[in-house]
Amino acid sequence: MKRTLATALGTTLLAATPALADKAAVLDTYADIALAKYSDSLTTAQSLLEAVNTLVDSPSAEALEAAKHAWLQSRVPYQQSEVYRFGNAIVDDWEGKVNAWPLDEGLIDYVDASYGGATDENEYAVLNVVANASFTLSGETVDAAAITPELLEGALHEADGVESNVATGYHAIEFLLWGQDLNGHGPGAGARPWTDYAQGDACTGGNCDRRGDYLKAATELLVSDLEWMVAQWQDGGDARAQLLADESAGISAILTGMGSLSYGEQAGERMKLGVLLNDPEEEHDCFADNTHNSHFYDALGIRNVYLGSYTRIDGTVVSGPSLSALVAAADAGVDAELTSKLNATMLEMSEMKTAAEAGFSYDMMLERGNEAGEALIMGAVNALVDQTRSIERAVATLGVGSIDFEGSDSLDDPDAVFQ
Amino acid sequence: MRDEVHARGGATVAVLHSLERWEANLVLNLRLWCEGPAGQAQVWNDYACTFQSPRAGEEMRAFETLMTSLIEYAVRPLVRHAVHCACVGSDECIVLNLVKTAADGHLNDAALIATLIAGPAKAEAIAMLAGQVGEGAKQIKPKETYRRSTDATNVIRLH
Repeated sequence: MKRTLATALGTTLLAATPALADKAAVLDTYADIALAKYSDSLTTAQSLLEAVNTLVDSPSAEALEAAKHAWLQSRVPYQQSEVYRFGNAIVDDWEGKVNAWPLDEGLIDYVDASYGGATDENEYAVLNVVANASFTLSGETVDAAAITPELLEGALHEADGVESNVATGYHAIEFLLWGQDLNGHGPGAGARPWTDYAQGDACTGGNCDRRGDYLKAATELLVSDLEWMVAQWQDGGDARAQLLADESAGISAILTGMGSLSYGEQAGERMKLGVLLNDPEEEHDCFADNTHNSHFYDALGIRNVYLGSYTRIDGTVVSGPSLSALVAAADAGVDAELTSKLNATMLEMSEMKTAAEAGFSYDMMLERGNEAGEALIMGAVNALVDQTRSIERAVATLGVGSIDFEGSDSLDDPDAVFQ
Repeated sequence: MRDEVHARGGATVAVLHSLERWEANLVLNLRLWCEGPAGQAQVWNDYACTFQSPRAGEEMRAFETLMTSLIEYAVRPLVRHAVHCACVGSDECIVLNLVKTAADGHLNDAALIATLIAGPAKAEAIAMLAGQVGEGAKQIKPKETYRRSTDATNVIRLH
């Protein structure tokens, strides 16, 4: 098969003479890339919904694998959008509906006995909505005979004010497709049988029809949530309007997103914490064993926001005047340093991703005493921390005022993690 | 026009097995890089596994700059084969020979080869870049195998 090189361009504009950048033009590029990322996320979520409908309507092993593949594909553009979360209040307020993690999956469906039961922190950790058409939640009886998007987002999500009661979003869907990963630090992801969606006597796990209803409702909700976010970044949308209202504040928002995702969220909460605790549950896409991709595409999202160039899922490129060019105009050395650090992070992430795809999965890397695994993860953590220092230099160079990046005890006070 | 371009730029002129290992790896990295982020991760991994920081980043940047330069300044769309294809197309072979010639220090010849892809105004700069990429590419440890585990061992997959 022959393909034109240009139909699947990469992500960078390194060869091109940087377009002259002013703040307004940089913000336009940033907003255009946001629209492209959320539109791609919507497109892939719609494909996921199609696959889920096929699985539920005509259950088979092939249909389950197709739905899993669609879920994995849906994560590629979405993870690259996470850099928009910090700094854009509209995104941050919404994000918990689509990507909340970690979750007490016993809220949704059956779990292994090793999972345990309700805890002091979460009375509903094993509520099992799939198996119960009616239950009491915070003193009120909930009619869950029909599992609908409204039930999931209204009554169940973050039920009783507990963040880990995640009833919606990518990870709830991931659990319903893969099931629990019971392999601990060993190889293998969750292994939910396709018969968990079969009808009649072939049904395993019980309540297959309700499980299918839940999966459909959660995926429909994901699609509608993404539709809403796409609208926010279109011309006239609130997210775009807020970003463009104040140029300096807008530039701060970009840098806040880059720094907070790099440091506190990714390097700290999502990566270093897992190394400290050696806990296979401390991986972002734990059911699917897709954590290496989750981290890789998060980092790539930071890089492509800075370079002002995003490769869409169809291979086309959305690009324009970049923050990189703006920083370079103020201090070429700082831009070169930050670009170099972002590249170094991608190299570390690539090593981790390649190792995981060769069979050395992320939960294996987290095992206590696994020096190679720790080196792979910490190489990426250190690179993320290092690039954060350069992002801080970019903040100072552009004179956009003080920015507080999200922190993490894992990085700032590791002893507190064990208290 | 599109079919003509494909025929001209994609015509098979070699097979990967006939190339030196670093040359075959370069062709594969060219293809992978054009596949988007997932393929680029494999290219980046090559550099990460071969060079220490910060050189790994510099070599990776040189490769990406060459790729974006070729694509941006090409006088027509360039054509590549699929990652697992054993054939080497004519455009791929031009890039390979450009890199190889430049890395051997024959920059004038490399610049002439570059004019097969881009206009003469860009040829010299592309040749210089290709030289750096070639020097790095020769040091990259070739991927152990491109055969998928499910492929039969005694069958060569052409397309």
